[in-house]
Amino acid sequence: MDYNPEHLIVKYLTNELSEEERVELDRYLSDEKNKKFFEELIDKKFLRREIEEQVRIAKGSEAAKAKARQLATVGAPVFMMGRKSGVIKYLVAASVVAVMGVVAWVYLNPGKKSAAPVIAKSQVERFKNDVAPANQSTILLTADGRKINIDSVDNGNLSLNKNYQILKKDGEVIYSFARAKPSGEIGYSIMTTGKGDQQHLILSDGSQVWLNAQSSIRFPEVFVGNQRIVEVTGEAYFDISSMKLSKGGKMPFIVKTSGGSIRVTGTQFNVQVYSGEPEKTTLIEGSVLVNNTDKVLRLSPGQQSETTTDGQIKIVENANVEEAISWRNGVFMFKDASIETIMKQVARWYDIDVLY
Amino acid sequence: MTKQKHDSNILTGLKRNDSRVFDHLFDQFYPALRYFAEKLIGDTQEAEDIVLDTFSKFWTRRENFETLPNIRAFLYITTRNACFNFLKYRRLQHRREHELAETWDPEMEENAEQLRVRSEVLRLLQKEIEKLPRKCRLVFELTFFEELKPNEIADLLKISVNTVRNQKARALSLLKGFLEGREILAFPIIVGLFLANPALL
Repeated sequence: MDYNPEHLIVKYLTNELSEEERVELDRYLSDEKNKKFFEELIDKKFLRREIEEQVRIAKGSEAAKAKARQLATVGAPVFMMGRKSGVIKYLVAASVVAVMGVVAWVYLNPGKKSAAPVIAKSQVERFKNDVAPANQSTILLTADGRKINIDSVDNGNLSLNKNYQILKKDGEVIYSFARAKPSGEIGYSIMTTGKGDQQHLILSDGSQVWLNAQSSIRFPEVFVGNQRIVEVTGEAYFDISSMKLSKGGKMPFIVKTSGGSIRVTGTQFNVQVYSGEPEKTTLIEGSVLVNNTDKVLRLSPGQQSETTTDGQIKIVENANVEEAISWRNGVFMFKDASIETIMKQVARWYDIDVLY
Repeated sequence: MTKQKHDSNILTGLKRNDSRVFDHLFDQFYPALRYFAEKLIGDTQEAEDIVLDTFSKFWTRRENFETLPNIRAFLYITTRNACFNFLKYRRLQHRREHELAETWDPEMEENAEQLRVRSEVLRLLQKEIEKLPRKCRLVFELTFFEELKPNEIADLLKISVNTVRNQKARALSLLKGFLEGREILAFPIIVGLFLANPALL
């Protein structure tokens, strides 16, 4: 029998303690100091966080191993790999103004008309010399099959369903209950933004969604059941309201994307999943669980995860959270981004085709 | 390969100066030792230097080790002593400079032992979890760390609740197997201890 405290504790955690081992563990825990130490250690959040720290150390240990071998004069000569510089500096053709980072100016095809921007009007004064983005409308596809152009329809209730309202006001669309409980089948709506368009949507539970250009969200017109589930393509910023379950606990809100899903209970985060690019989730506040069929990761505020095409989910080192959500203020922010990234974002906002 | 064979391969490899054994032991113990040293002294760079030095000392003495637990004990004790020396030295320094930093005090011995246990628990857990097959591991992590229920996991991973239950059971039985393998090695030492001192029984 193995009575080292570390082995007893690991077996305790995986429910593998034998009778004798249980007795030994109790003996160890009869010391108050050990008991306190043990209780702190078995907390799942603590375990997760500390294991992750060791994993992080392990990931960066190749250089240390090379040093160790040299120091201990182990075996054949050792080469140390130089670090690849991961930053591609980018200079825009036009002048670049630094505001909270970098704002990119772009030349439009002179033949195109530029429509009035839909985004934050307060920014217009500051960036008077900016070129305004193109404007293609946001389309709402309701559960009953109507295709409504949000920008051209009048303010008011768009719903034909007695159970709830779809209120259109300037700059936002709000779903809300008219009755306490919906009857019959729950229908789904899909909201799709065009190039250069943003849309603010408030779901029936009060959760807020801001859609970036060329994005879509599919959602039930009313949330029922034990979970709230939506599907997103493109880019969206979420401010999820916390909802309680009748049986206790919080009702989770799940965002499904082509890469996997993101699970929260009440929080603010940004999801970016444009086709052909790795999926990114940036957490502002609260707690988020990101997963695909292979991996799961929990984010803390300020962290960003990236899902690559081969199914890996990683934490992005030194993620620039401000940059990730700068689109919400109508300001483009590119700091050390590659020319590809910048031009892709630009192409979504301006009605231009980009060749690079 | 059984745990026993694996461990004896390490020991014979050491006697033959097989550098792959160094790599293997480094990979196994470096993260936990670095974590241990860092928590003790609060200095990342110094912690790394100390642990690298420990491995160097270990390699110098490689022929003297009879068991893996011996090696593990040596690695931790050497690291711990180097950390204490560093803290004592720092305490001397800071008496003059009045800085706030970790310094050595008599309680450190006890704290160090608890920290060692913690480092090992983390190392062992992660090691066992890593051995699990992918889906199995995912289900285990969601159950153990995120404390999700089977139907919630089924929904997230787009699999059936039955599959979740099966993977969970599989994870636990695999972990049990991994953990039990370790006992085989520890047993001779414990028996040895008991024979030397029957009072321990």
